[in-house]
Amino acid sequence: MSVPGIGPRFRTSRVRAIAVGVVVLAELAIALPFLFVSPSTVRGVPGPLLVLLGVASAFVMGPRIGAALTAFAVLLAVVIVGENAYTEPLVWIPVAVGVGIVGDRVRRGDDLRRALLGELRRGLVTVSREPQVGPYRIVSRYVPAEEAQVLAGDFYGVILEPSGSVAVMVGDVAGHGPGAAAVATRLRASWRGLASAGVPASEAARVLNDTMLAERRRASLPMLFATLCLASIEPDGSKACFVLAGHPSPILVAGGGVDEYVLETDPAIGITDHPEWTVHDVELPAAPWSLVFYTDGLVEGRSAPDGPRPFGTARLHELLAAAGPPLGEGDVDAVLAAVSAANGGPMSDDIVVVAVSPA
Amino acid sequence: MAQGDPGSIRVEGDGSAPWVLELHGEHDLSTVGAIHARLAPIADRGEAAVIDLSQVTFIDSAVLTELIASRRGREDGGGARLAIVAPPGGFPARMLGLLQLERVVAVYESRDEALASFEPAA
Repeated sequence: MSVPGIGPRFRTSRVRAIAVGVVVLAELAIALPFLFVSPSTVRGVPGPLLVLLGVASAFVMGPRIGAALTAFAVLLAVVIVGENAYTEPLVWIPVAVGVGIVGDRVRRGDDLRRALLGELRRGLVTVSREPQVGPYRIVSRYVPAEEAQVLAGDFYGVILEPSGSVAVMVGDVAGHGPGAAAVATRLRASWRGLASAGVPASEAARVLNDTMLAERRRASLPMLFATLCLASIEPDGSKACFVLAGHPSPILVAGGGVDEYVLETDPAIGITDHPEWTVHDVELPAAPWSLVFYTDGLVEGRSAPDGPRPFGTARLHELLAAAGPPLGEGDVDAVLAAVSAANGGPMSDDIVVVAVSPA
Repeated sequence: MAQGDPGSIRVEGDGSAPWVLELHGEHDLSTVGAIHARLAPIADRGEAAVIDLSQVTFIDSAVLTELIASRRGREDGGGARLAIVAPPGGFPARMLGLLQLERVVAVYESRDEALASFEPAA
């Protein structure tokens, strides 16, 4: 979950020393040839180039080292190249110090931004990816959107309820950016509390919806809604129940085929007051089977590189049926690889996949 | 395999009648900015707009959020009077149905119906 940063960072003093050495060598490489040729033939080029190099190094290496490198560059320009017009040391050294301070600030802001993004993303998923919860094997994947600077709002969680059932939650805050990610982390934390206290899924959906509406009204937040699938799977593997809030139904992979449950969904979370959330009870077959929960990023990529969208659920069904239950780590990775290959370019949305199978 | 159709927007109207924003092709986060640029002034003036999704082959929740966010009923009291056109069976109609957004914005099967909804009752 790394976030692209601005500019290079020197992690050790040794790397920094090498960088300083490279700049010094570059400055010497520009200046030294002028010991052997007449400076007048190329007048107006090397002086500014040396000063530019010094000032640029200040941006990367901070005010002190930058000022020293700039002073060295100015010295070379005056002594060796013999250019005085561009080499007023009293001007360029303070400039290098200023640029170095700006560079430090940019980097500090950038470090903070990266830390915040990383922290938000970590808040969206289960911190430790438990391979087993209660009697079930869990394979989960969170693939952040690959397009630069996109912070989307997919989230999920799997926990053991007090009754011994396993609660699964997969959600997607519509929209992108820090606002969506912040809402996603709040929803996930709230769900975790409700599910660990044994609150039934329909009740949890109502609470999450009311909370989101109340928060928006109080803080006059812009329109944001989230889709959710909440599930509870009984410990003996015979039954499960789902609550859907504008979210795709889970898929059952069993007996050489797949079933996508055709279930009426309730509205997405955060749109409107909705006191009654439908609980869909389903019977599960004898093992082996896998229940697959996912967010729409999995089926909304391109159907082929440069081809039309969406990838579609029909092809997802084919992939899952071919893999067969129980779905292992390799099976889920193969599905993700197929989706990514069909899309061609970077995926524009987050993807969450959670496959639950009796251990 | 058919080529993906990049999203485009056509705006009709001069403010005397409801604006019509006709979206074509595929719309996702990459076109949200363009849609916002067209819709925000209409929303700020509180005018009426028909969003015609008949020609849309793909739309995601980021775009739908943008549409819903501009409708009248915003917490600040502003917003456009919005009607969405999504013929049944199309991708946009399936998305609107899944999210049940028809609970908060009027969705019509044809543009004529949407335009008629803005006419004062006889």
